[in-house]
Amino acid sequence: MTQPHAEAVTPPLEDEAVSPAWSAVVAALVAVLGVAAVVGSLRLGFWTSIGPGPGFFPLWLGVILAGLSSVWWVRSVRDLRAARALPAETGRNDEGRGEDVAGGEEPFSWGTVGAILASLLVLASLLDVLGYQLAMLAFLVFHLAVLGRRGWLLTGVLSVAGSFGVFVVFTRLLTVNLPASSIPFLAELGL
Amino acid sequence: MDTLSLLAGGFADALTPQNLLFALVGCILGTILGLLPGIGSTAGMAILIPLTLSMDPTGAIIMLAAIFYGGAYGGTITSVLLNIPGEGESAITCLDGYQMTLKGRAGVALTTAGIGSFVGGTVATLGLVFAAQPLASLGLKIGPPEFFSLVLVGLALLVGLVGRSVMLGVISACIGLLIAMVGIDPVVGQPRFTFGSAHFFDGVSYVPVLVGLFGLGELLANAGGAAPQTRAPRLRELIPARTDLRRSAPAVGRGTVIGFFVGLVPGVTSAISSLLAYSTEKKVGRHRDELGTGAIEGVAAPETANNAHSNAAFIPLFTLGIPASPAIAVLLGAFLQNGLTPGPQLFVDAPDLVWAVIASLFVGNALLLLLNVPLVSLWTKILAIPYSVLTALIFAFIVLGSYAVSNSVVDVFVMIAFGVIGFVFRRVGLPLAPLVLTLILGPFIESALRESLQISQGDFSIFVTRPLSLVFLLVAVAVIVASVFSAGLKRKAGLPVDSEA
Repeated sequence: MTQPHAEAVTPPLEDEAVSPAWSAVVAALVAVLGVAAVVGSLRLGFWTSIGPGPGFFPLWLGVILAGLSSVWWVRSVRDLRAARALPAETGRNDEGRGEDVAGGEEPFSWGTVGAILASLLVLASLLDVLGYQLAMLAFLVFHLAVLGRRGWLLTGVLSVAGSFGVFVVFTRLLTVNLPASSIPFLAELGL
Repeated sequence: MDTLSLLAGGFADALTPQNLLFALVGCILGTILGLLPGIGSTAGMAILIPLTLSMDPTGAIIMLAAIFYGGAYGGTITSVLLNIPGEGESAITCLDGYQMTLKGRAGVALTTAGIGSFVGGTVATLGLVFAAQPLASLGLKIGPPEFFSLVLVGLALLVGLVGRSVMLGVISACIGLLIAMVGIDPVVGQPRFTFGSAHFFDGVSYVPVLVGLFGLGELLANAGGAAPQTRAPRLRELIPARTDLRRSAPAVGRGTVIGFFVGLVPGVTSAISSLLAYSTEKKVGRHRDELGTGAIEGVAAPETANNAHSNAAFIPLFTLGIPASPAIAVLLGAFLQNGLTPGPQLFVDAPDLVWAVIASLFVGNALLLLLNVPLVSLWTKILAIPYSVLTALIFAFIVLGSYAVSNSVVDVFVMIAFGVIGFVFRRVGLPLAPLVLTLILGPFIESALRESLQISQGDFSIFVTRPLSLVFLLVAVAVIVASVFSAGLKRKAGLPVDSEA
């Protein structure tokens, strides 16, 4: 409704544009995970008197992971070299169908990813401190008013409903406990 | 008691006002989740599991199952009207569905999809009714080695058919298994990979993992996107002409058969059924040269097939305890959370629940037909909600759902971490489906392997000397070998990769 027109912005459809650089980094991380699993499993015990021990299965998993991700890493590095060797324009052409993107709005933005993750981490850290109601209120206000640039009326109604309203419904009706504040002054106020 | 009287008993349970309400709520939620960008029915079901813990198990399973098959209907709406597949399985519907919208025939496309889904789902559920008990008695004969080999078949199919790369599929499956290893070892009782935290003694709860991978991961991948706008078809446009019905009937029939049989195979997602149904139309349909330009068969066949598939997928779950797709795996998780283990024993332990759930599948399919066809315009209004408002509410919802599993902030952090992992998986083309399947089946796979080796006193030949197990293993090997060799072909054909499924 209030959305600045924006015709069907196609969501990035899977891995048309898999970046070899990303793949190489992730492959290396997975290989490290595999090695870590092998090291961890060796300590757990591979075999016991009654059969395979706790470390038996994870050890095999670690070996397979380390092996396959090494192959993946080699392939990604090769792809990366090949991509660098080619002239720049044949490299990654970001989403060929993002033509009808509304003015100034990218179909994907790193800034937004960062803001979302940061706000979620802050919310999770504050849940037990400020309590669900205040932490969620702040979270929703940030998302609606700051990130979404919505009006204050809409922001107010939705944030209050999502924080105080949800708290009442969940704790009273659905018997799901939500965290209360651990600060005595706030806890006394029922937050 | 014979099957029909058991089914009648199931209907009596499923039609109580309370269970009917749960089915209705599930259908509505499923449709909404299927419609919304960024959150599919798999993540939706995972988020709602904690809320169902205070409900009685029958109602809880009925509602979650309704969310599962309701999601496909919602996905159809966005595929047809906007050319955006809300769920992986609707991707193929975009081809002709969106063309029909451009020609002003969106209403007909949606009605046909609704009717086709209803027919496919109902026929498949009938199949479930009659196949369930014989298969379950067969299932009771399956020992640990057979179970292990059968799960390998499922994984091989999932990795081989759905992903673009067998290697990436296996990596994903191994990561899922490794996560499943966290917690107290089931045989010896020793903590493994718990990082010294008592929170992880029970293992990593799969609810925050799934919510992170499918919910947050998808939202991060679309971060900064805008909500698409659409126009709802008017009621009069919804009624198909007689030629439409005549043309779609054979496509619906073929779609039902394909969806049903493919749905029986553990590990194959319904996206494959849709695709097979579509390519069958392309080969044998009378109007095959019109496909791709807005032919009614191009909507009827895949939509019927995917719903027949979704309902048939309950058969391996109920009879063998093997989930056929990530969504069904989440449903299996819901059974476990409610203290029930799906599998042949379930027909013995909780027959009332099984038959009530089966009966509710019929009820739910009828409800969805009623809900979707006349109310299409209402559903499209949901798409008019600004994207930033939707995402803010979804974020609040996924934090809430992750917290509520075990009233712990640790799970919220787990969810965020897996959101990042899900996002990275999407960036590098790692498929998510194998991870989900092994994450939930992990404990079963490991127990089956270790029990087998205990039976044989450490001799691996137990997997090849038992005939049934050997057959399963050969099938698994054949699938992997075939898909490694056909990988190039598949890439050329542009098969869909699992996104949601």
